[in-house]
Amino acid sequence: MAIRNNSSLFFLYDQGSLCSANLTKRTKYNNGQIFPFLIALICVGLILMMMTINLGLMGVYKTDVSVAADSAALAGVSILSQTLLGLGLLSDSMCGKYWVMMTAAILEFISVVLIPAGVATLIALAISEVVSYIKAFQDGMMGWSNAKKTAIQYAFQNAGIDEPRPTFKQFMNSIKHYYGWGGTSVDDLDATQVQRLYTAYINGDDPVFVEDTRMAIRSASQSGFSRFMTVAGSSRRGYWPKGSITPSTPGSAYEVISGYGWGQVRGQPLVTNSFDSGISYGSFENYTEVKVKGATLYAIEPLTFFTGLVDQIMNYIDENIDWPWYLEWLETVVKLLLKVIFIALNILLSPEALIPNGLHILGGKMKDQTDNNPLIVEVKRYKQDMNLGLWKFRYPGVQSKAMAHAFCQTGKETLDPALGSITDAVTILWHYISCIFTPNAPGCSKSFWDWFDTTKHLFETKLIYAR
Amino acid sequence: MRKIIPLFICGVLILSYAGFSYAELNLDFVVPVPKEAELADSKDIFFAGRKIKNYLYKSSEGQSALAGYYEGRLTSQGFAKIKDETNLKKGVRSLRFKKEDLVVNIYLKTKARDTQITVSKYLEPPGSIPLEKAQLSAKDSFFAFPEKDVQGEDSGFIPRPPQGVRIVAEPGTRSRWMYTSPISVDRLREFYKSQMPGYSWQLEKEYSLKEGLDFYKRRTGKSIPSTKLMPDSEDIAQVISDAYNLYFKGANGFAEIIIFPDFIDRKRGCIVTINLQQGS
Repeated sequence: MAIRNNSSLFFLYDQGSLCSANLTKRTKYNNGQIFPFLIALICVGLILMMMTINLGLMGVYKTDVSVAADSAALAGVSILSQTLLGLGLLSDSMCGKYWVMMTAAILEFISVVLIPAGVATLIALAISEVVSYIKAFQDGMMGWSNAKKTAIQYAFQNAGIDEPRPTFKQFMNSIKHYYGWGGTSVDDLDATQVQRLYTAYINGDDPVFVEDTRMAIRSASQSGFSRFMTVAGSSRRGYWPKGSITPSTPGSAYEVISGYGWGQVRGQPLVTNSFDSGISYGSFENYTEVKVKGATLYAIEPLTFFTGLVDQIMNYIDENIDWPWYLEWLETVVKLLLKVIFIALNILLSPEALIPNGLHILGGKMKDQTDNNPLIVEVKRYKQDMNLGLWKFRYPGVQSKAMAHAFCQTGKETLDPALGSITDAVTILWHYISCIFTPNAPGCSKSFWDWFDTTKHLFETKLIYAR
Repeated sequence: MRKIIPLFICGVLILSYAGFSYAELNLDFVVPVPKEAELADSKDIFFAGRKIKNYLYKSSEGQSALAGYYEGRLTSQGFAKIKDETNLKKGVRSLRFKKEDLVVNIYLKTKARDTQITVSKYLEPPGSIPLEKAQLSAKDSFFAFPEKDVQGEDSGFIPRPPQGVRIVAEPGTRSRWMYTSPISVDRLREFYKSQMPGYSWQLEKEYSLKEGLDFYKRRTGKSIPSTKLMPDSEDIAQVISDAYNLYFKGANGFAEIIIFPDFIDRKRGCIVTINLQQGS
């Protein structure tokens, strides 16, 4: 009761008790003020954490698609560089064959008795060179198709597709029937059976089976993405949608698009992937799309010698031909046989019907086909937005683009063969012919093929744009 | 009767003389040979649908003496000289004699200290085209491929075509063989496609030139013009169009087999060219 007394209150106040009571009230008030701040701080922290996770994941995606695009573009143009080297070597080979067989034909004409063999040699040369040109043209188309295919392959492999492989339980369910345990639930399998299945799961193989079953086991142990990457044909939605690449098939289109989707299909309770389901990759909650753009072929034209060559060859034959004794007197036959040789040469070497003796880039504009003719790769990673209630993760399609080209480093790179100029060719041709008659003369130990400098067909590759 | 017997005897003599003369005036007619001349070679050729017999002699006598000899002997046998030309630049003299259908050509050429005599004889019946105006024919001997293999060896890595005759053999790192064969293009193509795997070759690519030339024309605007070497030979453009080109790859390198019809007469068969590039 004493404390209800005012004096007592004052007493208490004086003693600090009331003060203490008042202070307690004030302290509680202060704590209450901090709480909202703490909540706000936690929320901000959570938001920052969510943002960090979101941005971090986007950053990871961005890095993945950048690496994918850059590596794909470089891998693709390395194929183009190889293709150009191959075309250059084919050009050299065509030129070498041209001179070897032309020389053989001239020698056969000079020997008179082999005139038919000489004509046959010219015809065989024409056939061989025309086919070589066609082959070169097809190789150019195939080179671009292969470059695009390689680029797509590299892009997918480096795009960081995080699809998990099937679980052991899924694996067991899909393959147990091969072992004769189809009717047994996986939970009822004994330890030995599980051990055997686990070994197959880890190795992706079980050598006791025939090849088809082993393939099925291998396939069941892989993710859908692994299966997607093993199929290049158009028939089964593999990574390369343009079918098999062979010399006889037309080149790929200017732009080739390929994609792989996995996870859940939007609006459907289905967890699968675009490869196995056949559903468009764009319908999945995750997908990676690769676009590769580039030319479809190299503008190659046959390199040919023309005016004057037939006359030069005829003059040479006329001066060097050694008519056999039984024809020497028969000037009519001599003239007619020379005319036959002339017709044969003219049919195959006339400006309208030139035998190709090498390859040449259209108009000689090598840079138009290399430096100004890049391979462009675009990689997109899509992940469906995820709403956690508190925070909605947003993944706008993360994209990256890269361009690369095969280029002329010295400016002297070309597809033209070593003996592409008529002056060089005629000089070396005469040298070669004289070496046949005087094989011990200086310089004759040099092989005919040593005249060919293959380094001028080497094209460098580089990345010219990356974003 | 007294008149008949002498007439019969005269008739027999005349006919036998005529028969003898006829025998002399075909290709069996023996052209006289100078005393010191030695036969070095002989060769029959076919040109413009006629057979020409050629004999090569070598003599130590000069051109003038030999020309005089032939002129004297042949004119005495009733031949008329229809040509006598001298080419000082080439050092040759050419004489031609004719009696009825038979033409004898004497070609004298100085070689070192000797004179080379080419005696050629052929028939030129009235109405036939003179040799100077004749055209080459697919049947002429100049366009006959060898009937036996030429010198050289076949490739041990690639089979030769059935019933083939080797006409070219060029060994080396990049070697070439050419054969004639009476087999058709299609059968030869099948032959190589079936036989080459047995020699460890794999067909890489087969090209039909029919399609190839179309492609070549579309890309370049150029084509092989339709032309014949001789009026009765095959069209070269058609020959090339009917060709096939087979590419094989094997442990020994690359082989290219080109098969096309005989460009003189496709009934004779085909020509097969094998280009072998050894190494990778």
